Amino acid sequence: MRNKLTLFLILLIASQITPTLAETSPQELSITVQGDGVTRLDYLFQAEITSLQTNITLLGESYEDLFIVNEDGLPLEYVEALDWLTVYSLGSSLVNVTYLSAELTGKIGVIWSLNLVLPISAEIILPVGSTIINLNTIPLEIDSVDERTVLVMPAGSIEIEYTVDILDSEALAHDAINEADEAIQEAESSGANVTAAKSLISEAITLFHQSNYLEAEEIATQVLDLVDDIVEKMALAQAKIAAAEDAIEIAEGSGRTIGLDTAESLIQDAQSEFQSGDYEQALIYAEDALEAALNSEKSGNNTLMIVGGIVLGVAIGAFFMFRRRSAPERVPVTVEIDLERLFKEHPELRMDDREVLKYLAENDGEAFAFDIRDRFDIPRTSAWRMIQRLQRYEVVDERKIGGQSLVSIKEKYRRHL
Amino acid sequence: MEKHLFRLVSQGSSNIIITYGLDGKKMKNKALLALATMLIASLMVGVVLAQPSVDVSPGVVKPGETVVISGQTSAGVTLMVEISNSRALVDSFNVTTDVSGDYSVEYMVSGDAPVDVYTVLVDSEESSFMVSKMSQEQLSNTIRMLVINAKKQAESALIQARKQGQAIPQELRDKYMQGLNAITQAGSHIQNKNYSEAQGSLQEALNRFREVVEYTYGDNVSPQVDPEQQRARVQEIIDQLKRQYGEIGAAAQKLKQNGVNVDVLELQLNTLRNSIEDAQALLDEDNIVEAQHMATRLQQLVKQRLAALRQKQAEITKRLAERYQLSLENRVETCLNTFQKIQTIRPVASALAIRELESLQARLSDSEELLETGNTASALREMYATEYRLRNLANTVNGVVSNRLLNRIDELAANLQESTGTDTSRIEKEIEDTKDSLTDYLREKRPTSASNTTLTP
Repeated sequence: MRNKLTLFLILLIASQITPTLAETSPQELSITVQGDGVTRLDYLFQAEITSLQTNITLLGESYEDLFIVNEDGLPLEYVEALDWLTVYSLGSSLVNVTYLSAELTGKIGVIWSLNLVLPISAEIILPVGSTIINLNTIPLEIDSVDERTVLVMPAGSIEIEYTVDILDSEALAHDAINEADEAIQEAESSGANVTAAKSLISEAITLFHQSNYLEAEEIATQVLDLVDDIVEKMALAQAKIAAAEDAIEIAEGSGRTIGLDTAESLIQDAQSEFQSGDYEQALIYAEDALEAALNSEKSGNNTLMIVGGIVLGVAIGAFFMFRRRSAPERVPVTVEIDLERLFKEHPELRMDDREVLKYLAENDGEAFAFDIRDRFDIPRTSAWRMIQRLQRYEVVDERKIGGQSLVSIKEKYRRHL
Repeated sequence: MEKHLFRLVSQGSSNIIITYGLDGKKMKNKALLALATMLIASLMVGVVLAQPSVDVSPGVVKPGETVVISGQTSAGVTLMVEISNSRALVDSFNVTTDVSGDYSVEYMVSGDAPVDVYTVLVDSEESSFMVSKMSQEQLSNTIRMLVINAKKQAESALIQARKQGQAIPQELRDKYMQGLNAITQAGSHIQNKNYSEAQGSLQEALNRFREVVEYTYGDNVSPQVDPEQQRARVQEIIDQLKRQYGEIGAAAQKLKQNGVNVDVLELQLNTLRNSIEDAQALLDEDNIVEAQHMATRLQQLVKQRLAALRQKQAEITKRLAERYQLSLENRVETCLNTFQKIQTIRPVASALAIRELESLQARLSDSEELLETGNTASALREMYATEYRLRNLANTVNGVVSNRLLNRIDELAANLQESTGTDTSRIEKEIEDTKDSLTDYLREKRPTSASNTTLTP
């Protein structure tokens, strides 16, 4: 009797057991991460063909653009439950689920993170331009497809941290070397001696090829500063030499010959140093030459020269007096620059180029290089490169006036009023 | 007089005979205690001796390659080997140990085996191997490249800190140097084929570089962003839109093939395709901002198209339900035939099952009517209940083998609905063969009257 009762109870319990609902684990899972943190998930589930519905569990809590199809590509109906999705597979053998989710990724500072508990080993495709900086698990496979890193990660808890779009040291070093090289070439084309800079850039290039990008970038930056310095010193020495030469000429003209030999000797030394590329030394000699020329004195027994000088002075004075009388009254000239035409003809002009041209236009179409530097607060080399560029585009001319560069907009863009 | 009270056969040991006098109650207790102790000790020794060791070599194989599963336990024992991955149980088979208690079996991984970690379970002991298309050397070298990229990011952070006039603490320089050293160590490990140590060193390097990046950019230093990547971001969105358009378009075509009117949806999809092409053209012309605006608008449009597709869902679900109804009818009929076939062996169980199946046929007629009248939801409920009871019927013929055979018949009957031509006759033959197997099995394992009563009431 007891046995029969036990059997009945067992049968009663057995009859209450629901036949296993087709709850299935995925067969394939692919996770594509975009640069904005949105993630696309592609699941493939194997469904029981003798089941009307299939319960599936997906990663994340909300599913954007959820799309479910069977092996024939027919969309399947589904119902969202608390922790799973009931798909009306209706005898389908495969269930393909895709959706978007923004909640699987996070970002702190510049570091993005992807945190998941993978039900099966899965493919994770990271955004273009991403760099992995942390992995809690060693991947099963790593590949690169269309500039994207593709990882196959094992099932379980996964944490991947990565950065996106940040230029790495290789790119920074590459850019710095290119910029320094361009500066060297431009400085060299203007006659500057850039031997030291060339030697330094070679060192940077060697370090770059040795994958030592940190030091390569640092040295390339130093080269840029060095070229800037060389060009500045060269310009100063050039101006000073010109000034000293003028002073010597004036001293000679005014008969101040005592001490002029020293000035002439010094100016030769300055020119020699300038030629050899030691602009600092050239500057010192030129300054000394200028001082010597200014301090030169007239000799005591050169009466003839004094008389000659007076005569020459009177003659020159008379010439200018005559010219002033005979020349018509000078009328101030107003120039208008056709900037519209200039910009139209040169769309390649940069924003800063255009600003400088506008400044020139406001100043009757011309300005000294140092004025441009002061006005726009740009370094000497940058200004120099800009002027070279504008000359290449044939929109400005450059000429030396008293050792200073005068930049003027080309005649063809000028309208004299 | 002494009496033999207990005889215990210990696993792997000689018989043990314990005796005690009839008159000594204390003696009896002591004997029981000693017996219990020895029993536990004997079982423990037995368990330890019987526990097989498992070793799998090599640790990483490519799909289609072979691993050797080996180990040791007692001599002449048959062990069950189960191989599974994160998806499912892949394979199971028996292996018998030799006179020394050793076993060894070669297992060939399937050519289409998914990349995964595979667990080998022998009794309760387990080991694992990895299936990957990459060798450990390739994997280590590739991870090394990833770590070198992380190093460049750390260097980039240091360069930016220098350029932006931020002091770089010595601690951070040390971390960077530790990362560099770890990369060098990993290189040596790879050369010496110590791949797991190499991977450990690389992970160490990655952690150090991560710390440099996190610390530097967290301290008023701004990264220099690659302007070219803005285009890549927009391209990613457009690519995603293209994929979604492709998926919705393909589904719409399937609906059309199944007689659902999707004319309006097709027109809407054409507009969507043209707009996606316009966004791509804008991007190709370097008009990145406009392309981005357009792509963002199109994301909303994709949502609308998906909603439009879902509106057609009721029609397609009805068609799928009709197909499933036919399949279910077929399965019920096949199951009915099967029970009729085994009626001579299991008269009571079969009679009850046949009665149940006939009621299911009536129920299916109801669901068919519901489908015809457009009441798909109620029809699905009826079909679900039918499926539930059909599955229960499989339990009426007790035993794993009979259950499996009935389920197989069920599956084949479902397949039959979809099959055509030679496939149909093959499936029909397989159903008949499976029915024969079930009959043979039940004839051999003729149940007792008790097991006959395990029918669902």
